[in-house]
Amino acid sequence: MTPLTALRYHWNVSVLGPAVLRLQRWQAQRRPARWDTRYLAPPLRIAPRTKELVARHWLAGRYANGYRKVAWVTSGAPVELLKALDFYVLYPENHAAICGTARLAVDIASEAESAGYSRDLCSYARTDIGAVLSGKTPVGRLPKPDVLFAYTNICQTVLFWYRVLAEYFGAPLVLIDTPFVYTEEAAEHAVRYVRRQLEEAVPILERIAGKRLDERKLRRVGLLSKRASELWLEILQRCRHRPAPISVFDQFIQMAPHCGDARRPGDGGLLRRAAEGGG
Amino acid sequence: MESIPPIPSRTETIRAWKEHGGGIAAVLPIHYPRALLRAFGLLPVEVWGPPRVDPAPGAAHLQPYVCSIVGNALSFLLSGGLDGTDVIIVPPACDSLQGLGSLLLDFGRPRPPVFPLYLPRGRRESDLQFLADESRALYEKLAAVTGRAPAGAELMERIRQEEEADSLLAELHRRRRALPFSDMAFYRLVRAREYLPAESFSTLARAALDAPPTNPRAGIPILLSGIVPEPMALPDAITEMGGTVAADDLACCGRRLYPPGQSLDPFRRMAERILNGPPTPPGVAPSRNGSTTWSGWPGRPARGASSSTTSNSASRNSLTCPSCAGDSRRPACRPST
Repeated sequence: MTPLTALRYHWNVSVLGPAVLRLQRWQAQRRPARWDTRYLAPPLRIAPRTKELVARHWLAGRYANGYRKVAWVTSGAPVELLKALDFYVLYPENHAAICGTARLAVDIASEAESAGYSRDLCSYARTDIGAVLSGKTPVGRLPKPDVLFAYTNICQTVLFWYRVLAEYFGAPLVLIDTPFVYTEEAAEHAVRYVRRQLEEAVPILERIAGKRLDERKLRRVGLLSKRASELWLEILQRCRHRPAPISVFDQFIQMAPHCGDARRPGDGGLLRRAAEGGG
Repeated sequence: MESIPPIPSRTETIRAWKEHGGGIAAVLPIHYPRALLRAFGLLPVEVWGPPRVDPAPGAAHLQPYVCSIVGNALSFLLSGGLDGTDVIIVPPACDSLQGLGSLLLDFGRPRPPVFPLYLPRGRRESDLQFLADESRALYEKLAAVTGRAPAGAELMERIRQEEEADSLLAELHRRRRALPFSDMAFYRLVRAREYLPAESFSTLARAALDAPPTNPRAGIPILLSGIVPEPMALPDAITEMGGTVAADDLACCGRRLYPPGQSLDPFRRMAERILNGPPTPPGVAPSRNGSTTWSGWPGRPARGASSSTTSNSASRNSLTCPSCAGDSRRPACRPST
């Protein structure tokens, strides 16, 4: 990392970018967008704040290469390990969803289809591969990964998708295979298997990060992550009320900061206040 | 050209096995420890569809984009096709099979017990250990169902029997172009491994390998890639068009040429055999240090080889078979199932 890289990162990510995003949030809060459909509830009042959070995350990604190590992860991946090692964590499925809301997904996915990827593939994968091949993205620029972290809990496509990314970027792929749980609880040997893989992943991640894993930091990140997950669950449980305080669309949109970099209980608290009527 | 010995049908094999007091394990694709089932007196009979069932019963429970093998297997099960079996084994090799296992356990609850068997996606020591543990867990479940508890020595004997059958299967694949029978006959023979007891298959395979070799078949070498060589008239269609199948990585054939195991622990040995088999394309599994880099690019055929992708649904939808002009009721197109 050169001093210029560090300066550029701090100027854009810590000074200029947040100021611009804060200004945009104030403007959005002062003049809420017109809402003229009677079928859906208007966006939550915290929407500008969520947008700012998500934008700050992607802004940090834009300048991450050369300043921080970057990990691309699949959904459900244990980002706590990566966060404790100061990786910038990019979640391509989240990016694909942003491409969808920006109405760019069809255009970007067609780049992957033109390269020979079947339309039968999941649109998350096509959008991500299309973005990688073409450089098209609504978030400015995607940082190149130093490591790819694939977790098989969501589907099998992720493994093949991440193998494609590993080849394209020449980055190492770390696989954490999670056996499907057919019964109430995972079998003991399945838990042992996942634990062992996580333990095996640590030295690989340490080597890439260029630093040792600080157990106290991991514990702290783990606690924050647990608290954020509990808050999110609490928010979802509020939807048992009739009328529900937030819609399923709100749930998907508000999930973004939780799934990406911003696993902080403060974000969950913000949402909880929204669900309680302050939103 | 056809000097292949007569192959007993699936129905004949099941009937004969049951007459001798054996049980039947219906097994969904792709990889599973055959020897473990045999040690419990269960004959593994694989369910790759089957291709000619009414898909409607399964379609009522599955999305239309779910693989036709899984859809047909569910239809077959719901219409009573697996009623005579003692257990159903579902190794979730893909999302569709994983979903089927879940569907059967949570909602279907067929009469025979359903046992999933998770196959790890890597090839590391942790994967090997997990698969060995998973096989041990299956052993316990089978013991509870059958009331038997085969000893380690019996398991090892069954493993060696399967290893012999698999080495003959691999030899058939290696010598396929010089064998004195057609591609169609070759696939009938190798797919008999899906239901014949290992010892019966070994007898058949030895007879086929002992036949005097011929000059390697002429024709454009074709690499078949995909899941199953169906419709079964496909190899004949390739021959008619001047091609010959040189090799395949089909899930039911070339992707299951398991090498012998090394370990003296039967569970670990069964796991070694599966995990040391050919990789599931595309690409490679993570290396032993847990990381990997990609070694292939999807969509690009290997240099110097033509390739054709076959699958249950794709082949049916996109190819018209010259032998039957699309009429799969004609004998030429009947699969061995």
